[in-house]
Order: sequence, then structure tokens, then C-alpha cells
Amino acid sequence: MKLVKEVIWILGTSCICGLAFNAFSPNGINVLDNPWSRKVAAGGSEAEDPIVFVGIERVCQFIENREGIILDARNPREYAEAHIPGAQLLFFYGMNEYYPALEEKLRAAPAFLTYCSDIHCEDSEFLANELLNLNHMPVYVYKGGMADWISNQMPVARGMEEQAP
Amino acid sequence: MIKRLLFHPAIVWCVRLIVAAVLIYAALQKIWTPLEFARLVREYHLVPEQLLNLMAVTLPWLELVCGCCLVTGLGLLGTSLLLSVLNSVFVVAILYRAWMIMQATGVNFFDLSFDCGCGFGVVYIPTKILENCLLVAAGLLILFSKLRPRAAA
Repeated sequence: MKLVKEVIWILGTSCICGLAFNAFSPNGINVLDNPWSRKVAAGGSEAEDPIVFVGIERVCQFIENREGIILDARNPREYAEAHIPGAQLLFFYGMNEYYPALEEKLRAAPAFLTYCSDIHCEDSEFLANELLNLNHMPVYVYKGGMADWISNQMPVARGMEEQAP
Repeated sequence: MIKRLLFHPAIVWCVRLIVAAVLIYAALQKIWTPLEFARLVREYHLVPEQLLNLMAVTLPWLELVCGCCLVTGLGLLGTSLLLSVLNSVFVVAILYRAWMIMQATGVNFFDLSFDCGCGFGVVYIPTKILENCLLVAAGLLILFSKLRPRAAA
């Protein structure tokens, strides 16, 4: 009986502390949210899904036509090593830090293209979901990411110039 | 003789401190970045996506509370039981993910390294499984060391 009581006490304390810390932490997350599945815009259907997966040709077209903002979902170190020229850093796991500085610019942009490391990386999709939640659309996801860009011998930019925050 | 040595209070106390240090360090690595931890847990495909965020927020605190309990001696029975059960679950989960990766990539088990979400970054999996088995054993040692005097009485 004592054992059960102690287990319940430990589990309860952990849950309370975790939820309380999360509520006040700058990196806190919504525990009821599910940012991991692709979401369809309210009232929409699969056919109207504003997240579109694109290949390198469409990325080049997006850049040439200046259709919108390119967003790099990777971490600052990876971004500094190499990124698509003109891409803005919006590290998915640092949204609270990076998003406010970019928000005004994003509100004015007509379209968004996200990418991360390679085809196995899902952060570009997570970022696309997050943009959708924040009413930024349409969002294109370059699934091949930086690995595909480099393997196609496309130009890369390096460094952190003019990046938020 | 071995049993008496194994359950010697000094040995049990050392084990408690070592395990507590591991738990507290691992918890502190995850507490600050719950979203990153949720992503790592998601890669196991064992937890429903709706529960990932809740788990990412509470699991590191469970480790931290267990670590603190091991240091202070509060709720040792419950802590040691939870420690053994949780680490057994982690071992199974890591083995399952390792098996999935081996199926997908054909990589040999003894060449396998990935970030298991344990708070130590990318780790060599056979060693990680061994470490977790030791944590299970440590939990059982603490549990039975607490139960022993009562059984003797």
C-alpha cells in the first residue's frame, strides 16, 4: 500500500511540476496541441490543403518569381554553414525566439517556402504546420531540403547576416 | 556474502547517488526544450501524437523528481520501482526503434547510433541498452534493500 501511495505521489508531483514549469517557461508548449500531424485549414478539405510539397524546379521558380519568403527550419549552426541564398532563419525549435522578429515581414509575404536538412528531416513540415496555425499561407515545403539543393550544385550562402533575433 | 555486500548501506547509498546524478542530468537536458524532446519521442512511433506534448512536459520532471527522491531518501520504495519500470520500458522502446532502423536501412545492430531522447545526444545503442539495464538493476537493488529489513523483521 505504501508503495502504491509513493508511486502516485511521485507521478502527481512530476505532473504538477512539469505543467507549472511549462506554463511559465519561455519554451513552454501547448500540451493539448498536436503540431505533429498535417492540418487542413479550417473548413477546408484535403484538396484545399495549403501545404504543398515541391521539388527543386518549383523552388527555383519560387525564387526567380520572388513569390514569397524562404524559411530555413534548421538550427542557427546549420544555417550559418550553408543555406539557400535569401532564406531567412526560422529555427522550428526556437519559434518563440525567432518568430517575433520576423512576424511583421511574414504578415506582408504572399507565400512561404520551408526547408530543412534532407528528405528524412520533418522540421520543414512542422514549421509549415506552425505557419498555417499562425495564418500564414500558402506554404510550400521543399522536402529534399539542403541536401538536395547542394547535390544539384545550386549556389549556397553562408553566415548569419541580417538574421533574427 | 555477496548478498550482504551488495545490500551494504554504503553500496546502496553510492548507487543511489550515481543513479540520481544520471537522472537529474538527463532531466535538465530535456526540461528546457520540450518541443525538441517531443520530436525525439515521436520518432519511436509508440506514443499517440495527441499525447506527445504532455509526455514531453511531464517525463523529464518525473526523472528529476525521482533523482531528487534518490538523493533525499523520500519515497524510496516508489522511486526505485518507477526507476526499474521506466527503464525497462525505455529498453524495450530503444530495441524496437533499433529494430525499425535495422529493417529500414540494413545497418547492423552493433553499428547503430542515434539520439534516443535520453538527454545524452547521439549514443551508441548497444552501450545505451546496457546502461539502461544497469539502471533497472540499480532500481531493483534499491527496492530490495528497502524491503529486506522488513522481510527480516
